[in-house]
Amino acid sequence: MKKIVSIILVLFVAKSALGQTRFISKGIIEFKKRTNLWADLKGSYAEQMKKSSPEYKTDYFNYEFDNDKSIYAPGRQSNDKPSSFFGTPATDNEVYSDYKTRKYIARKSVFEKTFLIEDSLRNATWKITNDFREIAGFNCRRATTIIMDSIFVVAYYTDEIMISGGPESFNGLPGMIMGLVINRLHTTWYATKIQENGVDAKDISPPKSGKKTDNEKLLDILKSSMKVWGDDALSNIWAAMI
Amino acid sequence: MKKIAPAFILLYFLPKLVFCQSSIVRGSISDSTSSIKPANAVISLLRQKDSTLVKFVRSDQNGNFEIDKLDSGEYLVMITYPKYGDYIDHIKLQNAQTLDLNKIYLTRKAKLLEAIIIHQAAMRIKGDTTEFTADSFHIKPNANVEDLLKELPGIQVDKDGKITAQGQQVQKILVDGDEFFSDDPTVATRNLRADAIDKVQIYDKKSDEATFTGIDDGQKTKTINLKLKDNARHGYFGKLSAGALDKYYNASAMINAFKAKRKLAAFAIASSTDQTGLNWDDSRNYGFDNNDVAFDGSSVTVTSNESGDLGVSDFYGQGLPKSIKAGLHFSNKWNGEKYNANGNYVFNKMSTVSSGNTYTQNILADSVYYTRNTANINSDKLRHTLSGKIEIQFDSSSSLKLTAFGSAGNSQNVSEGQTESLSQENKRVNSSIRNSTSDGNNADFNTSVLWRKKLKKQGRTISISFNERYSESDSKAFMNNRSNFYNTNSFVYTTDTTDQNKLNDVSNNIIGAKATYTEPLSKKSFLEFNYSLYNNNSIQKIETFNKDFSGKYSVLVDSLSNDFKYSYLTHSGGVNYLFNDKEVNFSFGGNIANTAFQQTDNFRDSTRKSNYYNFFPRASFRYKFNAFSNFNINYNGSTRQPTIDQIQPLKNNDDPLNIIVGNPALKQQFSNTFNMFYNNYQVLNQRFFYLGGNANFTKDQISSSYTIDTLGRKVSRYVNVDGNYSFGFYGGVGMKIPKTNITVQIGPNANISQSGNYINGEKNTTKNTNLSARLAMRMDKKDVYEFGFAAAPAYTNSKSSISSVAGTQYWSYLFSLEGDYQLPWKMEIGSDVDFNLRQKISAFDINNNVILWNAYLEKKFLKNDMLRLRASINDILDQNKGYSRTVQPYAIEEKNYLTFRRYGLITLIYNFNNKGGTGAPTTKF
Repeated sequence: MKKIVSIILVLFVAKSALGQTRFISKGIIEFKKRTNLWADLKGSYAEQMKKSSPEYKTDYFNYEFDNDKSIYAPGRQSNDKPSSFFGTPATDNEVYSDYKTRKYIARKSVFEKTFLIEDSLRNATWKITNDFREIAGFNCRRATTIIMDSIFVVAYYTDEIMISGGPESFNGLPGMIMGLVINRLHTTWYATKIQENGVDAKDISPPKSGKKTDNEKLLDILKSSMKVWGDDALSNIWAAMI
Repeated sequence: MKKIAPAFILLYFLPKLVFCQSSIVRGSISDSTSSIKPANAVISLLRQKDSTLVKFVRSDQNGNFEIDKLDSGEYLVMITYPKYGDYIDHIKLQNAQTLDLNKIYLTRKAKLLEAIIIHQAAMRIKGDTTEFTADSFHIKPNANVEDLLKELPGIQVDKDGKITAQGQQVQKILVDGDEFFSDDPTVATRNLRADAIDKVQIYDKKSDEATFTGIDDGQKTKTINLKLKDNARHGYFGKLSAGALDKYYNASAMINAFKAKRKLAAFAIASSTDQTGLNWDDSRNYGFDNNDVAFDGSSVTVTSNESGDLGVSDFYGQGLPKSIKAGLHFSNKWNGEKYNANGNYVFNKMSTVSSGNTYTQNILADSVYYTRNTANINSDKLRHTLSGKIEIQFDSSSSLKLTAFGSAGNSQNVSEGQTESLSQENKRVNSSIRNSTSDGNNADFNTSVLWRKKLKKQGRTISISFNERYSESDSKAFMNNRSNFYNTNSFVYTTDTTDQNKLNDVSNNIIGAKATYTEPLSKKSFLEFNYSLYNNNSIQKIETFNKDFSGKYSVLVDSLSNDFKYSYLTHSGGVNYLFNDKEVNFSFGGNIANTAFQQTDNFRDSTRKSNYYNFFPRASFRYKFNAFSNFNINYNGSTRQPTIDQIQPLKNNDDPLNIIVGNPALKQQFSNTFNMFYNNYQVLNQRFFYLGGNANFTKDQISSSYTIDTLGRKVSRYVNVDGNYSFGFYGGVGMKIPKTNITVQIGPNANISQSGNYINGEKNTTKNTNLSARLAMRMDKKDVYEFGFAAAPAYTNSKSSISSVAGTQYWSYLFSLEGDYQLPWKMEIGSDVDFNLRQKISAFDINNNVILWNAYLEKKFLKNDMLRLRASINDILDQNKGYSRTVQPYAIEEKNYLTFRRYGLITLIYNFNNKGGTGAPTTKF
C-alpha cells in the first residue's frame, strides 16, 4: 500500500473566488470508519463487556480513484486498543469499482473464509434532500436510500469530486460520497482528508485471491451458516453485504 | 428456473421499451453576472413526487448538457455548482419530447467566508412565487402557522389574523395547493402546526383561465400556499384547546388525518371572546348581499359590499360576539392524480350584542351640521357553507374542472336607537327614536365548469367555461319610528311617526359562458381570441305596509313599495397578443363589448332600456432581472354596473332622517387602472426590497347627491360623477443587521385621491391624502426570548371644495411592543402592549387614545411541550375602546362601540401528532 506523503487539504478558501471551480477527477481520500460496539449490548453481560472494551472501534480506509475506477482498501492503523469482541465479519474489505462498466469486485473476509465477489454495482434509488454538511472542507448534500429492503442509509456527497463513488459498494450520486451513516449498523464513515493526484492508474486494480462468488450466493451462504444465531444473525449479514 | 423467469420478464418488456419513445432534456448554463459558462455543473433529474434521483449528467466545457432516454412524467431539474445557488425547476415531459430549457442562469453565492456551513436555502424566487423553507426560521415548538408567518421577511400578521405579504393583503390560504375550509384562512394559520410545514409559497394566484392560457386577465389574488412535509402527509396531528374564566370561554379542536394524497380534517370552535379570528371574511358571509359586478371586457368579477356608499352601517364586526364554528375538509387524488376532488363544509353561528355612538359632521356649502346617533343591536346569524371541486385530467392534453359553492343562512336583528341632528350653532334641528326587528333568510349557489384542451401544435389551446352565480334573500322587518322636528326656538313644531312592516325579496342570477382560443405565432409569441356572453338578472320585490284600523299591517304604501326587474346582457369579443421569454414577458390587446340594459318596473308599469358599447384595452409587461428580482406593470380598463338598489326608483326609509333614493338614469362607471410592482431579495444578506404603485381614473363613478330638506332630513340619491382618481404607492425594505439577531423592516405607504359628490345641488370635490409608514424590529434568541417593536404613524388630510368650514387633518400613531421570555421549569412569560394615539380633530372633542396591554404566563408539560397550561389576561388596564374614524366626501364620522375589555382566561392546550413513516423509497439489494 502506498503511503500518503503529502496531503493537500482542499479548503474552499484556497480557491480563487472568481475563477472557474476546479473539479477533482483523481486522488486519494482517507475515510475514518467508526462503529459503536456498545449499542447492541443487552443485559448483565453488557456491563461486563463495557468495562473490558472501548465504546468505539475505529478503522481507516483509503479510497483511491482515477476517472471511472476506484479501489477502497484498509489504510493506516488506528490507535484504538484492540477490542475483546470477536470481530464482526467483513471489516477489512477491499473493493474495486468500475463505474463505467458497473463492475464490482470485492474481497471480503467472512470469519474463516475469504471471498472474491464479482458482481455488478449496487443500484440504489437515492432521495435527494436540501440539507448540507461540511466534510473535510467540502460542502456536501444529504441523500438517503434504503438498502436490503430495510436499512436506511444517509450519504453526504460533493459535486466537486467528479467520480460517482463512495465507501464500500455505495455509488450513484452526482459526486463523491464523503460521509455515510448507517444507524442500524451503528457505523459511520467520514472522509478525513484528501490528496489530489499522486495516483498511479496501475494501482487501481481488482483484488485477485479468494473464493469466487457473487452477492446472491454469498447471501445464501451467510443465511444458511447463521441460521441458529438469532437476532445477531441479521446484523452480521447486513454488515457483510453492504 | 430462477434464471429463466427474469429472462421472460425481460422479453415481455422489451417490445414496450422499444415502442415507448424516450424523451430528452437539454439546456445551457451561464453565470448570471459574467460570461462564465460553468463546466462540470451537475444537472440532476429528480422524480417530482418524492425527489428521488432519476438521472444526472455534468455540463460540458461550454455549459451545455443533454439528458436522454427519459420516460415521460413530472420531474424536478436541479442544477448545482459549487459556490452558486441551486437552480430548481419543475418540468413535465411528454412522450418522445425534446425539451429545451435554453439558457439557465446560475447565481453566485455572496463572497462569504466559504468555510461557513451553508444550511438549506431559506428563500427562493421562481417566476412570481417567493418560497420560504419553514425550518430555516426560528419558531417555538408547537408554534402554529401564524407564528411562522410572522417570522418571514416581508410578511405581517395583525391581531385579527389578517396577513399582509409584500404590501398586499393575502386573500387565500391553500394547503398543498388545495382550498382548506374555503374562505377562512385563520382556520389554517391558527390550527395547523408550523412544524408540519415544509415550504411557504407566496404568489399572485391568477384565474384558472389565465393559468391555462398564460394570458393574464388581471384577476389576481394574493395567495399563500402551505406545502406540508412528507411526514405530515402520513399521519395525524391536531390541537385541543379549552379556556375559561368567569363568563368568558374559548375552546377549539382540530384534527388532521393525512395519508398520502388523502386529507381529512375537522375543526370546531366555541368562543365568547375576540380570539376566534371571525372578523376576516365575515363581511361576505354575513352581510346582506349587495353584489358588485365588475367587468373588464372578458371576465366578470363579483364582489360583495357590506353596504353601499350610502348604506346605514349595522355595527358589524363590533360588539361582543358568542360564536360556534365547525367544519370538515376532505380532499383526495386518485389514479396518478388524474382525479382530484376536494370538499369543505363549514357551520357558523354567532350571536352579537353591540351598542355604540356615532358622531357625524355633515358638510354643506359654507356650513356644517352634526348628527348624533346611539344604537343597540342584538343579532343572531347562522350559516351553512358547502363547497367542492372535482378536477379530471383526461389525458396530458385535456382536463375538466367543476366547482360548486353553496350556502344558506338566517339572520335576525333587534335594534333600538336614537338620532338627533344639530345645527352648526349646536341647536337641535330634529330627533328620532326608532325600534326595529328583522328576520331574513339568504342563500347562494355558484357553479362553474371549465374544459381545457391543448391541441397538437404546441401553444394551440382551447378552453370553454360556464359560470353561474345565484343568490337570493328574503326578509321580514318591523320598524317603529317617531321623529320630532324643531323650530329655531327649539320647540317641536312637527312630529312624524312611522310604524311599518317591510317585506323584501331579492334575487340575483348571473349566467355566463366564455370561449378562449390561443394560436402560437412563434415559440415565444401567441395570439389569444376570446368571446363571452354574460347575463345578469336581478329581481327585487319590496312591500311596505302600514297598520289598518284593526292594527294589522295590511295597507300597502305605494311610494315605499316596488316590484322591479333589472337585467343586462353583455357580448364581448377580443384579441390579445402575448410574448413570453425568460426575461421579458408582455401582452397587449383589448375587447369590444356591447351591454344592453333593461329595467322593468312592474309596480309602476314602466320599462327603460339602454345600450352601451365599450372598448376594454389592456396591457402588461414583466421583466425578470434575475432569480431574485423582477418588475411588472399592467394596465386595464373595466366597467362597474349599478346594483339593483342603486338603480330602482324607490325610497329607502329605514332611517327616516336619512332617506336614500335609487336612480334609474344611473350609468355604468368606467375605470382605467395601472399597477406596478418591483421585488428584490438578497438571500445571503437577508435583505428584501419591494415597491408597488397603482393609479385609477374613473369616469361616471357612482356617487351620491344629497339635499337637506326643510325638516332637516337628509335625502340622498345615487348619481354619476366625473373626474375621480386615486394614486397609491407602497414599499418595504427589510434586512437582518449583520452579526446580530435583529431584523428591521420599514414600509411607507401613500395614497392621494379625489372624489366628487353633490351637496344641495352643488358639486363638491374632496381631496384626500393619507400618508403612513411602519417601522418594525424583531430580535430573538432561540429558546430564550423573542422581542418585537413596531411604530406606525399615519397622517390624513381631507379638504372639500364646497366648504371653507370643513377640512380635516390629523395624525394617528400606533406603537406596539411584544415579547416573550423562557423561564426556568419550562415556564414562559409573554406580553404585548399597543399604544393607539389619535389626534383629536376640530369636529369632535373626545379623547380616543387607548393603551391595550395583554399578558400571559405559560407552563409546559410532557415531551416536546405537548401540553401547555396558560393563564392570560386581556386589556390589563381595562381601558379598551371600540373606535373608528371615517372621512368621506360628504361627512366625517367618528364611532365608539362596545368591545371587549379586561378579561382573563385559564387555558389548557394540547398538541398531538404521530410521526409517520419517512416516505423514503425502498430498494432491493
